Amino acid sequence: MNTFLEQSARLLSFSDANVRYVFSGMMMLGLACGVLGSFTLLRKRALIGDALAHAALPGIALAYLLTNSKSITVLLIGAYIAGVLGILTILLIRNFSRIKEDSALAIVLTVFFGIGIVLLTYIQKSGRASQSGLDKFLFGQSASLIANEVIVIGIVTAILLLASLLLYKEFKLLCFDSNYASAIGFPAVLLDILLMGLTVGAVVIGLQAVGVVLMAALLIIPAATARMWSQRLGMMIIIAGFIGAASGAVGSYLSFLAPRMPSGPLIVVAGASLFAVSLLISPENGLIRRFLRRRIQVKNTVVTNCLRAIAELAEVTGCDLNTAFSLTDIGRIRKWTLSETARYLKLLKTKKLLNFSDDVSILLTESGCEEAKASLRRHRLWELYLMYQADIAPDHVDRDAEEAEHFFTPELEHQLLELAGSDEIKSPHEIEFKGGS
Amino acid sequence: MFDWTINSWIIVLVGFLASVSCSILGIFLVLRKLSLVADAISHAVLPGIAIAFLMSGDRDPILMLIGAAAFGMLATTLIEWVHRSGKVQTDAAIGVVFTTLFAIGVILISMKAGMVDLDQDCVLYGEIAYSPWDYLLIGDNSYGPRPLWVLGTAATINCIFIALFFKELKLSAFDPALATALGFSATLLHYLFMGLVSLTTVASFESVGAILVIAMFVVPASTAYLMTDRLSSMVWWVIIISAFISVGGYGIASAMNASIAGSMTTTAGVLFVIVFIFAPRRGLMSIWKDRLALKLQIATEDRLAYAFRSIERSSNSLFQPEESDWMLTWMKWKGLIKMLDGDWGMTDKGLSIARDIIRRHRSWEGYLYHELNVPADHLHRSADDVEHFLDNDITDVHEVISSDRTHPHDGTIPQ
Repeated sequence: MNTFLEQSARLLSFSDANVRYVFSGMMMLGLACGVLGSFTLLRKRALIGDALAHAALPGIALAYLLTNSKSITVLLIGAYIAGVLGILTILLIRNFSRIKEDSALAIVLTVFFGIGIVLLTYIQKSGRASQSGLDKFLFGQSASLIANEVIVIGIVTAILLLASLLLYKEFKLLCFDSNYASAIGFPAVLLDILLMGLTVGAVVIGLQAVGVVLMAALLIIPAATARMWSQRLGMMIIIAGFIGAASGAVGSYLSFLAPRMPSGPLIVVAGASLFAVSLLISPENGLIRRFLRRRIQVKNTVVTNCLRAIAELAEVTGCDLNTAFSLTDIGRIRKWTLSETARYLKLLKTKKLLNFSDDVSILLTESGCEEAKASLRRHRLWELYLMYQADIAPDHVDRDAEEAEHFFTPELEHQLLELAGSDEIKSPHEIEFKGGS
Repeated sequence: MFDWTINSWIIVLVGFLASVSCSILGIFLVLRKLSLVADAISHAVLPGIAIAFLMSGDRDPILMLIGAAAFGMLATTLIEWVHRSGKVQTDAAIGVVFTTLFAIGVILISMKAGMVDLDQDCVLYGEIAYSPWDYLLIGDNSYGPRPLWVLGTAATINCIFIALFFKELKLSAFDPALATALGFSATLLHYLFMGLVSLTTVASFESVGAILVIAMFVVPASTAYLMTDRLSSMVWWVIIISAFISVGGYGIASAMNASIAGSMTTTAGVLFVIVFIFAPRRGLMSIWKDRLALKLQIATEDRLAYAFRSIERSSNSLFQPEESDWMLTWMKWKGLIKMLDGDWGMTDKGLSIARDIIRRHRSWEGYLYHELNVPADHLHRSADDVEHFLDNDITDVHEVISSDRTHPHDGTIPQ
């Protein structure tokens, strides 16, 4: 445990040069992947990164076989060429045969990877002196990054970010409406190829730290997470870059603590945790937010239903709304049990719609009366509309109106009022109420 | 290369069975555009296998099967849930879920040091090479190589399934709406099918690994798809292809001393490329040949039509001066034109083709002019394109609908 703490302290103080290299490299990598991943995600090509990453493996192995060098530049150039070949093969298969894009993707992914595995095992068994280390490209080993490699990552990241910045407008158009882009004269096909070429670049610099197998995740997860936080492309890209950098940093930190473990899976799990958290708390569609929204909606529905029941009761019994009504009678209108009625009416009380209530009866406040009238009016308006405009039989409109009345906008209500001509509307069907008090 | 022992043949047979059981299902994955589901499932089952392995400390096939099946189902549910509840687009949901599950699987495996039977390499490319020595032991009796039993069972089950539900699978592959309308449950069939895909993935997993199993699902089926238009022939093709890639793959692997599963995938890829280029009707060569033949036909017909119009105008030269010589040579070789007194003239055959073309051209122009009220100066371009593709019967149609035999701008319609 002591060594663990020492290790953590050493890492967090960044006193070790190697640690600094790895962290800065991983953050740049995450940034580049987040930015380009956002574009590919919106282009509905999220899974192409998976095919590209796997396709890069034979490039690495061949580059090593041909040059016998493990220089990062040589290997990455090999990976880049193989990745581009992968893209071209996918396009060739898709455009010149009846095989669909998904199969083309799977074919390229697995055949290129198979060739890579053949070459890799061939290299391993051919007993070359410096063969060890190529298999870190499978699952990644971020701790093995050295200064040179970080510089390469930095340069490529800078190029990728600059290109994305310069072509931001074009890529945006391509992602949201590629047909429109080509219609107003943008070279959509060229831009598409360029975007894929940049994506290959981002994939290639990540191979050493994340590995071919899981590289796709670094493109997909930050972008998918950012998508939950913003509806604007610019903001989404910034958030995705940030999340990518964070998962890179956290993943490589964990990988320092557990050196035996490949870093790729750790980075992926770090990113996935951010994704899961966002799934819960994101502002628009987060599960918590949606749960709360739903609860508010359910409460509002109950409140209007209660108010309408009271208004209908007043109408049936001929009493004024401003009198006390018994819970049993209100329940009878809606076929609620006494305890249900009591529970629902409590909600009215919290909304200050009740003047007085005890176990057997209630009295509405002035605003309660207004609201009750309004809810009955909305219900009737929709019933009338269904009967006269949509030709639905009077005994079928009640159920439909019950669903629609909760979603009225003031404009709609106004329009319907004009159609009806009066706001004193009789119920088109009989209100069931047996045995009044 | 040919000093293959019995063990070599066991490995080849294991590869063959894995390929058959995967690719026979793969046919329907490819046809139904579900190839990437194989990708997702083959990655997502890893944590299940790892947990089963960690719990039993041994390759208990039943436990591994249960674990993998559980995670296969978890993955499909999660993908659906992330897509629906999280409003994440489908491809991204697939990408997030399967990479995360695979990452968890790899972490679980590397947590336990010195796992002899299950390590990162095995996850990626399987251990088919050890299959001859991996005996099935029940009590004290040995019943031969275990992978043969496992994959043999998988292949048998899948073949029986395909044979029993061939009609239903065919219908739901090509027209799921009709399938549902006809009253058998396409959904139930889908789940049955996907269940088999998961089980087959697990059965093949330890022999060929997580990523190469995708090759077995997708590549032979895609190759067969280019070879034939008939679903039943596709089944026979994938069996032939499987035999080829298991033998060829093992040959390459032993020659290069490289991964067997990787070599099988590479062979499958090479076979795909060959078929992609040379397949009888769907191949690149065949497509280009057809296009070339069409181009040549159109060029020839245009020359003949020009010559016909020249005769009508009593012009001396039948062909445009810039005519390339080889076109004339080609037409002469086809017996369409001949030399007459030092000048080119059409043969009877050429003349009759030329007359047909002009008749189609002018009938179409007449049709556009009289029936569709297209202005006279807009007719020619359209007719120029259409004349090569029209049936000769079109002129009869024109006669039936229009008694007017005069032509809007260019002479009469030849009989």
